[in-house]
Formats: sequence, structure tokens, C-alpha cells
Amino acid sequence: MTQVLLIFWIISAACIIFCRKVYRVIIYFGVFSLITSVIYLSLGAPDVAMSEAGISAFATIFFIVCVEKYYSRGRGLRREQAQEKQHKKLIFTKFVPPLLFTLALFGLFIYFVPTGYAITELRDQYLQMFMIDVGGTNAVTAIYLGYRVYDTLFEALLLVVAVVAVTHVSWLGLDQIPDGRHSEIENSAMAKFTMRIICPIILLFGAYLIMNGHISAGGGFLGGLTLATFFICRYLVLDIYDLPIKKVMKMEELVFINIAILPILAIFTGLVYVVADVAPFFQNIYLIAMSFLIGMKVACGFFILFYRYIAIERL
Amino acid sequence: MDIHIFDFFPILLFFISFYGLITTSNIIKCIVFIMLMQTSVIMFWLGVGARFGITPPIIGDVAYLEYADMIADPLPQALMLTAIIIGIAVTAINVTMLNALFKKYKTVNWAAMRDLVNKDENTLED
Amino acid sequence: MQLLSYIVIGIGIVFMLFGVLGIFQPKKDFYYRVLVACKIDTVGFLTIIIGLAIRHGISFFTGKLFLIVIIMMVLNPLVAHIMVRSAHNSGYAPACDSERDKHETSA
Repeated sequence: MTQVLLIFWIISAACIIFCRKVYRVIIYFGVFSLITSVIYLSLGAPDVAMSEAGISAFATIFFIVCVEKYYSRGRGLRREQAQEKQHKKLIFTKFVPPLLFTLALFGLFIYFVPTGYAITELRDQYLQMFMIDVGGTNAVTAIYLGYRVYDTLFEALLLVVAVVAVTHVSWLGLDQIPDGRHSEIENSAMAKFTMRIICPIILLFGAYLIMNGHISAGGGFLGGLTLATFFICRYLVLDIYDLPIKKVMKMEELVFINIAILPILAIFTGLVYVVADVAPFFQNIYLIAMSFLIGMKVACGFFILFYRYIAIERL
Repeated sequence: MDIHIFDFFPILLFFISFYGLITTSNIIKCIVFIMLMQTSVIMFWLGVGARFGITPPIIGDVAYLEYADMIADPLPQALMLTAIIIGIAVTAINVTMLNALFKKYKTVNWAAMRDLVNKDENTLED
Repeated sequence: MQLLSYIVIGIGIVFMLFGVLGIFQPKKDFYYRVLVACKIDTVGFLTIIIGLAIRHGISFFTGKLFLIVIIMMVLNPLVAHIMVRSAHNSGYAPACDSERDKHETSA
């Protein structure tokens, strides 16, 4: 079973690499992400699997928006084929030396990769102690909110930097944000009615993921992605831009400051550990508050990215 | 040579995408291949000490800890959860920079873009 | 109960198999494939989920499965509707219609 899944994984990756048309590359990337997600799940990593599934949907949107602009009505495809024909004579010198180089590097890596058993002392330590130290029943959440909260801080910082970079680069030559482009779904009464039913369920599911992040699989990242999906559905169906994007950016920065402050108050001063002797109730409050803040930040970040790509990059 | 299956396939994927990265001339494909390389690295980390069908590190009861060998390692999972979010942020920046370049040069081909950039630099020097 | 659930899941997988065969039919146009994909996907998925629910009996897990069934039952046809609608709006004509038109005009 393991080998079958991994071989399908490699085959789908090879489809991506050796495919010529860019549209097909993007669709194959979705298939690849699906198989990757299944493998993660069977390796005992449900959080990572769900993140991968959510992320692949967002990446597909980014690339489709990108490609739709470059290759509208087949013009770009013909241009690309013409450019490839120019280099067709050099096929030997273009493909064989990189192949040899890659094979040599692959052989080196395979030769030097360490074999043997993994050391499990750290894992045993974490599994034994995390319920007392940080609280909750999900060890992954306990690690990224308790033992390794620095990682989460810098990851949050990196997402903020990415959002700021995207907004500032994509404002090239635009003085003001234009109104939204007409979307296909807007005129469909069926889509409007269905989305009116589905959107509250999506919101509820996001809140459920955030609230249960320390008990079961889920957590801040996934809840944030789901909340962003709610806003995106709202945009796609109603085709409105009533959320002021600058206020959302300001809110993301404020939330990031809170993410930086809360662990300092709770963990680095040892407050959680002192209070933990009295009641693990405070630990749960800390975990839920951190999950909520991270979820808000990820939701704001992805909503801004999506808004940017649909509203401005498509023009 | 006794190599683990979860070591072999991610390294294979890494070098397949590396090969694609150095032979393709399309920038969009390059961005997709960078995502593939990132996925292979994540799979390599998650495969450390893992078996197929292992239990997730969600412990509802303390009594489960007697079977600690059946529980997956939570540390790589926590690290990779942040790595995935960072990966999508990097991809978003890549796509945005590509958009900015496309607005200026109207091409997504590395060779054509290099020619145009060289022409621009020459005119600047003149 | 176990046996019944396995039979229901097997029926769902057979539905899915027919769906895949229908999607990969050559000489059929986009609308035909979307119809097959949408219908067979929905029915096969629902059958598999119902089989899982039978297997678990009445519990909290079955409630979650029921929620998933409702969401998929609403969303899957909607996705097909949006795809077909966008294809029609952007001017993609069904292949069979044009062939029939040709036939009628020639006859």
C-alpha cells in the first residue's frame, strides 16, 4: 500500500514536470496535492494533511488567475510554442548535461543519506510531558504554541511581510483600487441561494476548527483558511468589495502585535506554569486565545492575497 | 544499501523537480516546480521514523502512552505546519513579482525576458 | 450490519468506476463529461458515506457524516452548474448540436 501510493505520487509529479501545457501543469498539481495529502494522513499527520489540502486550493487559484492573464484566448500558447521551436535544434546540449548533473547529485544524496533508526528520546519526552506543560490533547498544537512558540512568531511575521510585499508590489501604477470585475457566478440565482445556505456552515466549521485546535486535528492555520474561504465565497457570489482593504491590513498588523505579546505574557514570564498547578483551565484559555489570534491573522492574510489577485492582478 | 522508502521517494521527487527547474524556460512552471521541491522536503521530514498507518499524536487518554511506539513524532509535524504556510507566502510573492515583470516585458519566457532586460540595460548605459 | 455496510460501499465504488469510464470516453464533448462527472460523483460519494454511517451505527461520528452528506449534496451539482454555465457563456458550443445541424442542413 505504501509503495503504491508513493509510486502514484511520483507519477503525478512526473506528469507535472514533463507536461508542456501550463493549464495542464496546474490541474496536475491539484492531483499531486491530493495524493500528497492522503500520504500525510496515513503517516499520522492530520494537521499537515488538512493544511496541504487547503493550501493547494489557494495555490490553484493563484496560478489560474496568473495563467488566465498571460494565455488569454490561446495567444500566449502559440507564442510559447514559437519560442520553443527556436531552441529545438539545441535539444541534445539543452537536456543531456542537466540530466547527467541531476543524476550525479541524486546518486550522491542517496549514497550519503543516513540509514538506521530514528532517535525517539525527544518524541517520548514531548509525548510524556505536553499535557502537563502546555495542556490540551493534541501534541502538535502543544509544540507549536508551547515549546516552539518562537517558530510560530516568526512564521506569523513572515506571512505579514509577504502580505505587505504583495500589496506594495502589486500597486504598480495604480492610484486607487478599482471596483470588482464582473464574475460569472453573480448572475446565477441558484448559486446565490446555495451560497446563502453554505456560508454560515463554513463560518461555523472555521470556528469549530479554531476552538478545537488543542483537542483534535485543526488549529489556527486551518481555521484561518476556512474563515478566508467564507469571505472569498461572499465575494464570489455577491461580487462586492465592501470590506475596506486598508482596515483589514491594519487589523492584521494589530493581531500580529497581539500574537507577539500573548506568549510573552503567558509563557516567557512563566504565568501558565504557575497557574497550571491551580487549574488547567488557564492553559486552555491560553491555547484557544492563541489559536484564535493565529486564525484571525491567517484569515486576514489570505483574504488580502485573494483580493489582490482577483481585483488588481487580473486587470 | 538499506535505504528507507520514505527517504528514497522524496529525494527522487526533489531531483526530478530540480531537473525540471533547470531545463524549463517558462517562469510559471518554475514557480510550480519550486512548490514541488518544498513538498518533497516536507515529505522527507514527516517520513523520519514514520510507518504507514501510524497513529496521529492526539492523545485522548494517558493510558495510550504505554503504546508510545505506535504514535507518530509530533515535532516534525509542528515544524512542517509552519513550513507549509511559509511556502504559500513565498509562492504568492513569486507570482506577484512575475506579474510585475509581465506588465513591463509582456513575456513569461526566461530567454526572451533576459534579452529584453539586457536591451534595457544597454539603453540605460548609452 | 458489517456485511450490509460493505455491500453499500462496494456499490458506491462501482458507481465511481462507471463515472471514471464515462469521463474518459473519447469523441464526447465537455458537457457530456461534466454531466457524467457531476451525477456519478455525487451518487457514488453519497453511497460510500451512507455505507460508512451504517458501519458506525448511531454516534457522534455519524452526525458529522450526515453534515458532510448535506454539504456535498448541495455543493457538487452547484459546481457542475457553474462550470457548464461559464463554458456556455464564453461561447463553447456542444459538439452534438453542430453535428445534428450539419446533418439536417445536408439532408
